[in-house]
Amino acid sequence: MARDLYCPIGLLAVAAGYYHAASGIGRSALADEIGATGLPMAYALALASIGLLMALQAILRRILGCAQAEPRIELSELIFMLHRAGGVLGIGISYLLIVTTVGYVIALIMVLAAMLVYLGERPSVRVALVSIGGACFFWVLFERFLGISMPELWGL
Amino acid sequence: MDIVYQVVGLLLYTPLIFVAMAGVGWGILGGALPGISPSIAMALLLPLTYGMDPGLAIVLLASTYVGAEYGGSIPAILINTPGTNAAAATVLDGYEMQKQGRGGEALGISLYSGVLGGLFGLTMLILLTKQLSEVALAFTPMAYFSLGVLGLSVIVSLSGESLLKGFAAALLGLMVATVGSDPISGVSRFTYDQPELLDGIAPILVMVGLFAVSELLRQASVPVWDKPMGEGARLKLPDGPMRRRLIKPQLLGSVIGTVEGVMPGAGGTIASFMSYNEARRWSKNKDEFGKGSPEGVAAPETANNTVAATALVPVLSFGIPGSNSAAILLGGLLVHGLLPGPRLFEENSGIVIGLYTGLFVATLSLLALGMLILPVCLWLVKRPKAYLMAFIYVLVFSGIYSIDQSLFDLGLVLGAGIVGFFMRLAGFPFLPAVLGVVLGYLVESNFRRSLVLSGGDHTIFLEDPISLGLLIVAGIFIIGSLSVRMWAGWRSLRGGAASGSV
Repeated sequence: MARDLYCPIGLLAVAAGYYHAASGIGRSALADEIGATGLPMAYALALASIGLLMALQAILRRILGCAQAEPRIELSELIFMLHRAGGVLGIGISYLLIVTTVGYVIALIMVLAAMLVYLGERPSVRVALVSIGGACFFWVLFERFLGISMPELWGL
Repeated sequence: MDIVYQVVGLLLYTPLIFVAMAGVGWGILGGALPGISPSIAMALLLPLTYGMDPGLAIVLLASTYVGAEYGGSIPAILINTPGTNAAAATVLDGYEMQKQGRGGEALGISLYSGVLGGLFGLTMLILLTKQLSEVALAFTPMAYFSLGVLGLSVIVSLSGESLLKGFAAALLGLMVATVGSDPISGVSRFTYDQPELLDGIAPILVMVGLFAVSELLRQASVPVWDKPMGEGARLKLPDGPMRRRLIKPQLLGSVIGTVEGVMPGAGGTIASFMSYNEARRWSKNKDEFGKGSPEGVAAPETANNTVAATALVPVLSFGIPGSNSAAILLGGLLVHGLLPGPRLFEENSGIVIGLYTGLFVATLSLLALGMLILPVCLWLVKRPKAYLMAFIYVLVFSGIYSIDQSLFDLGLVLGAGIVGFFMRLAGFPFLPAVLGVVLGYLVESNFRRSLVLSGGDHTIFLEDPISLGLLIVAGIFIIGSLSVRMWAGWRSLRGGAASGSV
């Protein structure tokens, strides 16, 4: 993948989106000369300028026939990385979705077991015991030792 | 002579040593858990101190602060997750050393440098409180703005291979820092009706997402686990030649930490980044930085542990809390009827001497407790990849949730992790982004406050002597770093041309 071209496109997209969001910030009678939108818009313009400079750099590099400064990532490799990362992310999102329903301890047991299996451990008694033991350890550490109120079963 | 008797009496006839050690132990645990910041670790102890002797209560809180500032470096080195904001600069070389199987050496350097920094800071606190306190009072909004600019100036040297990518990353960080209420008018910016965003996005959320979650996402597709092996996996304090090599970065860290510590609001984060930057600038082994340099661990660790002591200067002298942790310590003083200021030193000199003694014991305890705790931490990170990753993931969930009991924060961390994952793929450096998030509010709020004061006249930044001095130093840093980059680029071009012609 040609990172030197995708990066500037990404930066320009972020700058445009951020500029658009900044232009929607409300006005206040208490505002100073610069206002709430002043610096955000300046940041967006600066980011867009950097994006354009990077694009120019990439185009010049191609015209002059210079080698790309960074190693290329093959598409198949990228898809594999995204797929694996997506799995870990999915487990994290699942935790967010279930923790208020099933409570902290059960959600942790599920996350630990899911992560262990996803990362190559065979489902086994050991995985189950480590997951239960780990969840109990974190519950004792945060809920009992540090006194932090973690989500309870069924949101109670 | 009276003071010596008082100190000996405190050490022999009161539980001060145990209280200081307990505070340090608790602090290390709090600092090492991502999300449990030094201030949270101290706040959790605050109710316990109500019934305590005032002197011991203050020692307990201050020791916790010392321990937590050190503790942040442990996950930074071992699992690429800074436990505190100030430990973010330690990640860069500390985690590289860990990946090379030199985690034990990195932890040893961080412990040794932290103890030296703490002792240096304490000496400064004792000797120079009166003189240093005047620096704190002289800071205006213009000076704070320039301090922020000085902090941001290190981006030029933290940008890695591509300066443009470094600037882009810093701008992304600055953009994140604009989320929340506008510092002047109070208008909501980028909050999308989410009350959780009104106070902005805490830097720790961004850091844990960028460093820890993105690393987990990346590691999921790496089949072979680079496990630390052999001698490198054991705690190793620096030997003679290494100690000599670390003198320069430690001196830089101590001096920068002293100056930054006395400025309310500056804190350990700017100090550690600036120390890292200066250590690289003055190092004979510049090329090692970012690839596992011991100096890159020593400088920020010395700085942030020096700050832990010198940050008490404005608290004790004027009652100005420069950070959340200092505010809790101030709360501890007030709860016991102790009013900070010059009279504290006259009317409650025993408390102040007790505090200094307690801090001394706490700093030495770091060494003892560190040597006990760190081998266990090293053993833990040698576990099989799947187990380690799974436990880091739930540690992140638990630690982040414990900040505000907010699942929204966890969502933000996962979001920052996704951004970090793509930044890794695209070769963007993280540290400029972190610096942008940490300094964005300081820069914007003080820039605009200054302009309100001057009626829009930008020359106000040049009229304030401290502001002018800081801007000049920032300018020198930027020009110096750019010159070094251009020189290195020119030399590599020449080298390439020469080798090409052979």
